[in-house]
Amino acid sequence: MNLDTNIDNNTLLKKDNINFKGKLSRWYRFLLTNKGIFFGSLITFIVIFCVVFAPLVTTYDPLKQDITKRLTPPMWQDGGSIEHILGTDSMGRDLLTRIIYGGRFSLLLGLTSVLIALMVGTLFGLITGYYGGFLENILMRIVDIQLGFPFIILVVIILSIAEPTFWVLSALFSLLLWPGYARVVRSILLSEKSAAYVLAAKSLGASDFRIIIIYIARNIIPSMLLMSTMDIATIIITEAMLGFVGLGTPPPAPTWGNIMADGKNYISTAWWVITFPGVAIWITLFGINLFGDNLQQFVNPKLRKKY
Amino acid sequence: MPNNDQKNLLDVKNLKTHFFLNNGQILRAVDGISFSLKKGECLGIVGESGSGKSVTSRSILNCVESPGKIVDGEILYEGRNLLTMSEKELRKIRGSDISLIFQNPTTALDPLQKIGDQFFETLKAHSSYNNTVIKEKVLETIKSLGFEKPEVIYESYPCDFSPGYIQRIMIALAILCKPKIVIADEPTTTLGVTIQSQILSMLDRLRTELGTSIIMITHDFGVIAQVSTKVMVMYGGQCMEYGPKKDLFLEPKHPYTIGLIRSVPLIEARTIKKLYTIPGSPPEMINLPSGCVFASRCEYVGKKCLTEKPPLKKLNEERYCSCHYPVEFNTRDEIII
Amino acid sequence: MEQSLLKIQELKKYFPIRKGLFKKQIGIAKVVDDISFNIGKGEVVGLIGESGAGKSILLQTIALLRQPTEGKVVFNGQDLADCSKKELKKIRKQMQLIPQDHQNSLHPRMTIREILKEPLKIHGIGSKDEKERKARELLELVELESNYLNRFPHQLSGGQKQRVAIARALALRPELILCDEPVSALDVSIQAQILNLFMDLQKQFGLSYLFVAQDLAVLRQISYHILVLYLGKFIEIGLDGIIYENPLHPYTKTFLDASPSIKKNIYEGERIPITWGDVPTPLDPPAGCAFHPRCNQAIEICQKVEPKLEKVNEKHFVACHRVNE
Repeated sequence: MNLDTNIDNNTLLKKDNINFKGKLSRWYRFLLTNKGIFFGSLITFIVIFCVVFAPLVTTYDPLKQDITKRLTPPMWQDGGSIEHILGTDSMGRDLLTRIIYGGRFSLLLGLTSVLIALMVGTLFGLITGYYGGFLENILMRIVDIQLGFPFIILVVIILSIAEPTFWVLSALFSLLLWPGYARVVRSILLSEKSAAYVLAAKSLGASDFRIIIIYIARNIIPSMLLMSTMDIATIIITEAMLGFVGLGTPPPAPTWGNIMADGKNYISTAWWVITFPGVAIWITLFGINLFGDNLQQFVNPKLRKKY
Repeated sequence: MPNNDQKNLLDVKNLKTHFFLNNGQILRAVDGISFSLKKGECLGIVGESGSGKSVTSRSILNCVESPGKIVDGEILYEGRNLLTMSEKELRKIRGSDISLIFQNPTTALDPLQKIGDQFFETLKAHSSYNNTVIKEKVLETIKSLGFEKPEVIYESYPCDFSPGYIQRIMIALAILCKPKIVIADEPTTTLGVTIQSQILSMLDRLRTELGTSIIMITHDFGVIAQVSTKVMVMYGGQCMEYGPKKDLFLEPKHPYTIGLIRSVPLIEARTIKKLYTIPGSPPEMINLPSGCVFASRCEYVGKKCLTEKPPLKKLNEERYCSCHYPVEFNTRDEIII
Repeated sequence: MEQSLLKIQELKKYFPIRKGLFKKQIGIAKVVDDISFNIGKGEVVGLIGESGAGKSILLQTIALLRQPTEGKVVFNGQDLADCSKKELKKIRKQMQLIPQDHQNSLHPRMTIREILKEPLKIHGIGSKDEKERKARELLELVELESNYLNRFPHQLSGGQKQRVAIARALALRPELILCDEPVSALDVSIQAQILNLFMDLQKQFGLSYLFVAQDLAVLRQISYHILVLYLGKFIEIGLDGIIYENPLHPYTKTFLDASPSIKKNIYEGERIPITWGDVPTPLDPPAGCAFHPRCNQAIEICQKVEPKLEKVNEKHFVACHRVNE
């Protein structure tokens, strides 16, 4: 019997040692064992790589026109050439190059707006949730008004006043998104604030600041992470939509919406101009969403125990 | 099991419910359990958490969730085997013939529906009465359990009451269709003793006045002492000891039964003294030892216990015990001071 | 209770009841109402009451997690209301709360190691190595093996979680631990282990406990002094086990009767304890004695006049009109 318990302890210890190797190796194992997150992050990584190192991936200038080569079909079709893999648009610009630079714009826009929204929303949520009272009432009513305002009208008003540059767009998107973050942060805070472990921490003498940073933030960050990946996806598709209806960054700037707007005039003669940006959007969103969905399994310790 | 003149209402024979885990391991949550229940009896199933009590109760209704599966055995309700019945027939039996009371009363009712409406729907699904009769019957049932203003309860929402009150209402819901068996799965664990005694006395009245049979699942021998007529002690998915309540309390044979009885805090104690505790913790269900499952925590462990699994031996007409070395233990001398 | 460690004087905690758009105050909920008692050094005092009696709020008010409406909390001769923030932090080291709801008292995303180091980090005690050593020591104190340090709370059973919560409370070597129902909702076999652990630690460190439970049988194992709380007020106080021998208030008798008893049920025949009703809500307390709607001995005066806590003898105080009959 003594022997039995010894063996048991040893195996337990071994198990714990593996756990102890650190977060990095856990990530690594998680990546390899979870197919969803593997492909999700692979796709996202490839997209990001192409976008960041755009000048290395393609040698063309996204704005350089060449009327002689306008509407060249993709390389595998009659009349296509290896020089322009996905063909050219109505101005003779290389389509692949424009899509990649367009992606650069979309992703950067998504990232910037989400970061701004995240910071503003979290700050507001934390303040209102933790201190409550009058301040909370005022701020949450602002959030309600904001959420109740029709999105399209707001966009049209703002974009008709201001030129839709990168910063105007990101300001617009973060303005739209921050109430969501504020709400989620506040609701988590409200439910965590009275949790038994917060009481215990207070009884130990922990300051309000420490409780927010050490205890509550740990429960907020994972949800924020998930929300922001999903929001980046939303921004990418919304920006494309705005560009498509002519409310986005004005041409000739390469954005996915602009390329598609240009392509819709030639849809019967040159299908590729409108199709490939669509495919690019689809792949990017698929990658991000796949990544985001499966991330939940890693950030939640209860679902994670297998890794 | 004993064959007395009165017929058994429920007969469970060699029930085995196993869980097939993702990694190919098999968790034997319930492994070869047999018991019987007559009209007006209350069977207490006792064990620590993880001993397979709740899985047993779910198995009786044949509603074990995946990856669990009933792999062997028979569950005879009035002579019919529940395990071979169609889903349609089973649904008729669940709720109307056999009903369940859960551990957590606050999650058992829909918070957005009036309590009365939830009663109404339940009875409607299991009967062919018209609407006014149903409402009358609902009010009558609530009143029969000693509630003073059934109409007020009927029109209220679950959030209007405390968990203890809701649990009493749940009992009314459970007996609404006049079931023959009520399975109570730890109905008082989250409640204090005063509310606990109210619920237990309610269940006891069901048994003595209506003749409802009850299966009481609990970890507390104190609860068993109040309501049961017979007891099954479970450990590691297996039956350790089985028999009438009084015999089991007066002369427990299995070391585990003795341990559980001795760890109940006594209101009669004269001085502050340490309680008896069973050393160690419940077994990991995945790697059960080859011998007796209780061997690693047993005071009276012998050589045979580590290698050979003790069979469920018949001690007399009604008592069974699975132990190689049954203990002579007199509760009166040892516990009652 | 000669040398008192904790002295509570006329402590009150009221909550305003607000309603409507402008949050107008429409009433007051007296959750803790005029409570006084002492806990001496090394003493264990049991507090009993049903859910809704105000036990948790009382404990949190004593631990200064909530601001008292009125009254004094004096700890080691220091009035906590007069203390500066710095002094309060020092006092927090000596007085710990083990919150109710042991399933949730450990942060789900922290390992046991982090949880046990938290108190030391908050008060800046020890170097990194010392903290690690201390965490191991604490685990040893509560009879857990050191390989639990790397686990997350959800990998522990209910009893093990409660052990970690106790270890955390012990980390700062407190003199007084306020235990809010530390053994309810645990399996009886585990409950016995935890109770024994509390007793061992009490002897080892000379701790004082204010020990809350909903079952007098549980308190019987750990404390002689019993306070009976009903709707924010004490209705009976008995020292030195007097409550068990000679309970005077009908409510206390109900409580004694409701505890499952093998002796009464098995040896003295079947019995079903008679109790009924719930604790009324403090939003709308009954007039007169708060217990009268549930009391089987209530007479006219009970419905009108609220009984005061009166001295029966040196060790016994009761609030009941019919105590002298």
